[in-house]
Amino acid sequence: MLAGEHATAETEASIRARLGLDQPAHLQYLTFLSNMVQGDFGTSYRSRQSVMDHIAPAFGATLQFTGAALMLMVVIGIPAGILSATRPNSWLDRIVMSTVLIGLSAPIFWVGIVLMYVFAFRLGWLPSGGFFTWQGIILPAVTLALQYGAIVARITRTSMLEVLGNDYIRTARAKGISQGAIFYTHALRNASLPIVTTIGLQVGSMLGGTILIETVFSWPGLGRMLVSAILERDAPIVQAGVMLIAVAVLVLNLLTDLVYGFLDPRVRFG
Amino acid sequence: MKSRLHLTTHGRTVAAAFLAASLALLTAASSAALAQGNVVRFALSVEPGSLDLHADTTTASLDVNQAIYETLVRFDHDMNIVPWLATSWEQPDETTYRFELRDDVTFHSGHPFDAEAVKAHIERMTDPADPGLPMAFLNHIEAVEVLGEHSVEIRLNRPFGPALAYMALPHTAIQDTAHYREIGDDFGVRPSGTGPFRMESWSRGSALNLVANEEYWGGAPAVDGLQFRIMPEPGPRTFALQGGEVHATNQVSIQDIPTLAANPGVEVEVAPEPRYIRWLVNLNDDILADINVRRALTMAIDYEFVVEAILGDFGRVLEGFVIPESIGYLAVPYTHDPEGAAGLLQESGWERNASGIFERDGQTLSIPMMTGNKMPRELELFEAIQNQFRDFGIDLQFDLIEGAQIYPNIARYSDMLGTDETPDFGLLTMDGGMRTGEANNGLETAFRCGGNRNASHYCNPEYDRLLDIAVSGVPLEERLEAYYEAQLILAEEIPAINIWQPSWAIAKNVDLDGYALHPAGVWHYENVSLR
Repeated sequence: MLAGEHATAETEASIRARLGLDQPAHLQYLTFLSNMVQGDFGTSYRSRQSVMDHIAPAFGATLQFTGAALMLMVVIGIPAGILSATRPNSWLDRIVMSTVLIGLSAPIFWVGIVLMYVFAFRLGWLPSGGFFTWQGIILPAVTLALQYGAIVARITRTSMLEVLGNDYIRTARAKGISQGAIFYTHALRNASLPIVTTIGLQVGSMLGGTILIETVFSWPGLGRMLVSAILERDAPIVQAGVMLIAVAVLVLNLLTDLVYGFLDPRVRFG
Repeated sequence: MKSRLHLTTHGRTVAAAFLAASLALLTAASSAALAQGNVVRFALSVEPGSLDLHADTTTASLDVNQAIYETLVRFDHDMNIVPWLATSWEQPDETTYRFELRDDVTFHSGHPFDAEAVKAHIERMTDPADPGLPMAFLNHIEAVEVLGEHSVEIRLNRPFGPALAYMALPHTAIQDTAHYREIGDDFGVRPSGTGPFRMESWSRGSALNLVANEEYWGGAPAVDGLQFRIMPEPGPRTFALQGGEVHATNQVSIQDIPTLAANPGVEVEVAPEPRYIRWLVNLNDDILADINVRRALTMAIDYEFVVEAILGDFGRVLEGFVIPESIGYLAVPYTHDPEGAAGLLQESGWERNASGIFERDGQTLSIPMMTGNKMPRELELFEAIQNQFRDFGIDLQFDLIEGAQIYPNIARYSDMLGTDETPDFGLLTMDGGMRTGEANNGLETAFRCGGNRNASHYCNPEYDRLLDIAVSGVPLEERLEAYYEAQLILAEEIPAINIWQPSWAIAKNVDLDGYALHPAGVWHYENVSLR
């Protein structure tokens, strides 16, 4: 694989020795473990550069892009959900919920290609992705936010409707509290637990699930790097990438749990 | 009632904010400035691993590093070998080449390009303790000697006719070994060569940026730099090319060619690729060991028709064991003669059964074929051939493997020679690049006794003897004669069935000049310019 179609036997043997593949498997694994705990994920088979040199910028690019998508997802998804909940079964609700349905059911790479076709190719307003100008992040982030934001909008609507039907909201209205205060102080805060859970889970799956979007939009992120590393059998990169995603998902779940405590004092520890 | 009115007002506020937020994002970017100075932007489908030839000689890497490194000699467009970093050469005897080098060349790092540099480079690539990938093209070299500051002698370990052609390959371009000694494996990202462009920055996963080498011995390039963008998906590459985000790509997928060709701003160039695709035949297989069966496979169907129908301009039938563009090629086309083929099979005891498939002693004529789907439309082509075979009476069974596994498999099968194991395929798709422009590239490793790509387990001492002559230092006419005779032997004994030669294409912006396909599959960047 590394040596290519013209390789000589000598080249193959020397590559094996350099990669430590001539060692027994358990020794290779021990070496890997002991290096890893010291933060050394080894050297890429293909580039001979440190794995961290590959992973760090790719993880940064993925964070930027999922961060932008997360922002859009919150900025679009939650208001859209609230909007639907304020007027259930109205035309506005139907429009928002149909859009949500499309966002949920259309394949993400297809949405990406369509957006690219319209905004990059036909209208020429935006670059077709890539890391070259700040505008490059817009199309991939919007695509990702459309899909994940759709779920958030749906959950927000359901959860708001549920809370708005509660007795304490009726009491609040009876007390003459303004509609805005009821919405934001009483209803949204109580409706926010399932929303936060959903967002937390979504971000976790976004980190690992950006592969399609990163490939379509030529975004130099972790997902795409992993795919090409798998195709090239570049095991050190695959190991480090999988490890990093696992750690990131753990951290996100922890953060979600901490936010619970902040939103709902009843779930605080101690 | 009052409450409903309240709700409506509130709803409007949220709706307005929501719309404003989404619109702001789109309009803010509508002024995306795509022009980025006088830089030529290429789209690559795969990112190079390393730009050090020692570590990486994949197509992606060679695409970029041919702007950075140069070879001693070059192929011109008629495949003649012409001077480049070497101004002249002579061959005092069969195994000695003396090169006179240009004296006005420096590496990008500032180190001088001289005889010492050539020696250091070749010695690094052929170091027995840590040979580099170009070793495959340099392993006939025994020693390199410095004769003067700009005069170097390369001595071979055996007479080797294609030696000079190998020095024209991008794989054997001369790198700045002194710079390598200073920075080690970082050389793969901070390379130094003599070429028209030097490396500026590499943002992993995104792009490689090269700037013009103002000190270039052939005169400074007409553009400020080159940018190679990594764009793995064909659809976005096509959009980017048509929208002017990139100027050119050599990764064009077949289905996009009509769209691109119809665009007045884009030019498409299609030409045969220096690559052959053949099926190796397992000569240890009980059924295929019979020459009548092998011959029937070549006669039963009309390859010309199937290849033409499925591939159109994107490939042509391969009429020999190597490609027509190579030195030493001999056409040995198959005759389409289904009746003759059936006669041969009957001679060996095969008869058509009720369903029209040949059968002998209760065993149907079923051949397992191991193949990947490496080239565009390749599987479609093979399926069409499979159908034709079924109509004729032979059952081809596909055993699909991943394209990347083909070469490891071929190596494994060839290692089985002389062991108890036997290869477990009937036919095996093998593709091979032929950038050296000489037939030995497709004839040696796959068909010599014990060759390291000889999965067929073919062995004929007479064939090996003829190849020895063909690659020796004797005059070209004698070498050609030996090549022809060797290929006639293969055509007679059929250790492989020749199928097709793919085409390749570039698509480029009409404003880009000086970037074109080359019959040797090399890229020259020194004359690129933007109108």
